[in-house]
Amino acid sequence: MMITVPKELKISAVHNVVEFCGSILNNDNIYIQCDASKIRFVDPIGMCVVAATCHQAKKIGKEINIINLDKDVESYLQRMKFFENCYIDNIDDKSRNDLSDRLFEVYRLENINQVEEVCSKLTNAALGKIGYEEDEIDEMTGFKPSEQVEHHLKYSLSELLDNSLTHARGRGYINSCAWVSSQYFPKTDSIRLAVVDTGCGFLRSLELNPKLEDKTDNSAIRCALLPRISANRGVGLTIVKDLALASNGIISILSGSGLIKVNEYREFGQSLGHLWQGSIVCIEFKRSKMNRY
Amino acid sequence: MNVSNHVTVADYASSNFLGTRYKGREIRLDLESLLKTDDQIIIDFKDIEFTQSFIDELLGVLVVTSGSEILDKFIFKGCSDNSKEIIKFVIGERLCMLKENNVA
Repeated sequence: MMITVPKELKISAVHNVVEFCGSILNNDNIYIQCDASKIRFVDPIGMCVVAATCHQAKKIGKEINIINLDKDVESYLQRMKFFENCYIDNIDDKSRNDLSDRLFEVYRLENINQVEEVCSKLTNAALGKIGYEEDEIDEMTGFKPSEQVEHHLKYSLSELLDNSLTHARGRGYINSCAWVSSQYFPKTDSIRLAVVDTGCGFLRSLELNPKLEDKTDNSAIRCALLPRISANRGVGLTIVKDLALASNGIISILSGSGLIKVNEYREFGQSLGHLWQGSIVCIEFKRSKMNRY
Repeated sequence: MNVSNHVTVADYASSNFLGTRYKGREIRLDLESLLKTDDQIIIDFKDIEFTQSFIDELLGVLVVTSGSEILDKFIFKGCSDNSKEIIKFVIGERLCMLKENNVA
């Protein structure tokens, strides 16, 4: 069975990515070949969503082969450790340089005790050394602005990942995992950070919450973006949203068939034709603007 | 009165940041064991930053299960300004929830 991989595996084409992933998981065939000849661009979200799908496909006994992959794309995906998380057997692994201040390779979290270390590395890759030399210590807080930003990002990512793993497993999704990755794109000074899980999704998580307006995925995502919504009145998602908006960025959240995107000017909602079991969070922001938060 | 066993939170951390309920639970279980023999425990947060989730699992759960009186058994030490605010917020929220449940 041959499935064509979309040419763009990225957040702005996430509906195509989710459709492609659905075609793998819902396929009756055990052996699936993916024709990757059309791939032209991949970002952290695309990699995490597809990696999560391949992991799930493997668990239900499917075998996936990727063929006709362009050499540059293959090289990038290897650099980002994509194939390690996909159980793709026909691609060999290669060594890589340390670029930890600009990218964090695709990483699968299965245990809650991985969260803290992963958050530190994700934050380091997202922020690099912003304001490193120019910063002065704020007299009120005793911290440099860059240290405050680092703290807020690490804090909110930790809350996000802790919730991702805890909520899902508390609702019977005992094998749910989270995939994360981030990358800094110097030409546009932009950071793209991805958190993808295969858990229960926001609607199931918030179905009894009195602030849920109606039982739809988009309503659940909007509810999740309100502060103090989760069981411990958490603020992880709201801080991450605030960070993105304060630095001319965007936060995009997909769960079930719902997709919400928020930038500093407006919120945009869409219902997709395909389902993602779990949630997909993508934060995009300008690195040089992060000190504004 | 049996005073002050000293719990150093940094001993449970591999870095200066604790962000998960998992870690909060680990320390809380140790606190619950110590409370069987000690009337007061010093919890030293020096050099550690943490999240709401961590503190909620560490202290919030104790407030919910044992009531607000449990807080009299703890002395918090070494908290940064951020940390103090997080502790105040989490405990405040759990105390509100306790009050609402008692009224309902």
